[in-house]
Amino acid sequence: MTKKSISYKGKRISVVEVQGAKQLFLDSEHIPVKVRGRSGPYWSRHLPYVEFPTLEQLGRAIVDYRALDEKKKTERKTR
Amino acid sequence: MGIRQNQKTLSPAMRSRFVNALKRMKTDGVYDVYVRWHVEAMGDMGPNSPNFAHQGPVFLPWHRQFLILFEEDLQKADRANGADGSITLPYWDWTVDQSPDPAENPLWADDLLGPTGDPNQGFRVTSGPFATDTTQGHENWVLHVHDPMDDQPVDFLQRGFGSDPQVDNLPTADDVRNALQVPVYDSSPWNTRVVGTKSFRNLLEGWVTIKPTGREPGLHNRVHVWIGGSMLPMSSPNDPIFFLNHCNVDRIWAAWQTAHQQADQYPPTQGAPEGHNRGDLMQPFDGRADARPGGTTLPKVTPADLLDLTKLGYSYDTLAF
Repeated sequence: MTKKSISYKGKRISVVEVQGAKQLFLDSEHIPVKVRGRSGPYWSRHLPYVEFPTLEQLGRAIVDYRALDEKKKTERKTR
Repeated sequence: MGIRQNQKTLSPAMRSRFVNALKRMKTDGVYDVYVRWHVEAMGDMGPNSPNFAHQGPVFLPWHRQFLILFEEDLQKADRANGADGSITLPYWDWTVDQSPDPAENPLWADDLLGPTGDPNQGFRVTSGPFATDTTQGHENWVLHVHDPMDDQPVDFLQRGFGSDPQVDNLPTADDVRNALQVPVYDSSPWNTRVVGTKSFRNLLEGWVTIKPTGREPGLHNRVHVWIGGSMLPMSSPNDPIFFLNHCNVDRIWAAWQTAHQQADQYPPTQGAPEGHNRGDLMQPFDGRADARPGGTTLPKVTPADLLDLTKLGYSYDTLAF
C-alpha cells in the first residue's frame, strides 16, 4: 500500500494505492470515483459534469466546491 | 405543445407567466420530483452501476423525455395560475447570449432567472424570483433535494458565473457547428471514451471536444460548470436555468437530426449500458409509480420513441446556428 497526502484549505487530500487500485480520501471520508482509462481521468458523482486528470485534482475541486458555502454554514451555526 | 422560443424573445407578460408557473410547480411539490428523478438517474457508484441518463447514448433522449413531462407540468401550472396553459419551455442560446451582466443579458434580470450569486455570501443568489428565503411564512425556492452523499447540503440557490478559472467562458457557435458536422450519433463503447469524430452525442454532452479548437469540458457540461454553484452537483435541476440549458441542448440535437436525416438516428440496439439501448425502457420512464402529487404511473418510453420530433408535439422557432 502507498499513500500520498497533501493539505489543501484545511483538508487532507489522500490518494491511497492498494494493489494498483487508487482511492481518494478527504480527511477520513472516502470519495468513490470512477476512472475512464487505466490511469485517469477520474470522475465522481460529487461533481458529475467534469472529469479530472488526477485524483488529487478531483480532491481539490471537491474541497473548493464545498468551500463555496462553508462561510454561510459557519454564520448559521453561530447565530 | 407548441413552439419553444429563445428566452430573449419572451414578452414581459410571458416572462412573468414562465416564472410564476415554475414557482407554482415548486409550491405544489411537482418541481422537486424532477430534481429527485435526475439525482436517482445518476445511479450509484457501484462498479457495474450504469448512469441511466448520462455518459452514454441515452443522454439526449432521456433529457428530451424529461423536458416533455416538465413542459406539460409547466402548462398545467400556467392554467392553475389562471392563464391558458399556452406557455412553452424557452431555451437559452448560450453561444450568443453570453454576458453574465443582467443589463446586457436580460436572462439574468430579476424578472426572469435572476443574477449570479454573491461570493461574499457563499455564492448565494440574493435577488430575483429564485433567491431563496427560508423565513417562516415567506418561504421561497428552498432547496429540498440534494445529493445523498452530501452530508452538509445548503438549502439556498447558489451560482458563480465563470468562477471556475478553468471554465471562465461559455461554448461558442463554432463549437456547436463543429459538433453538428459529425455524421455519427454515437459509437461503441457507448460511453465517455468515444472520440468526438465518432460521436455527436459525446461532443454535445461535453466529455470530448474536437481539437485544436476544443475546450474541455465542452458544450453541455461546460455550461453546468460555468454557471457553478447549484448547477454542479447531481441535483442541478434545483436551478431553473437547468431547463433552459437542456432546452438548447435538445434544440442542437434537433438541428443534428435535421442535418443528418440519412444517418442512423440511434445506433445501439444492444451492447450499450443498461437503459441506453434503442429499445430499453428509460428509468424512471418505465411504467413505475409516479411520485408527482396526484400522479398514477409514469409512461413507458424508450429512446426509439423520441427520435421523430414531428410526433412529439413541439418544435423550435429556429434550428440555425
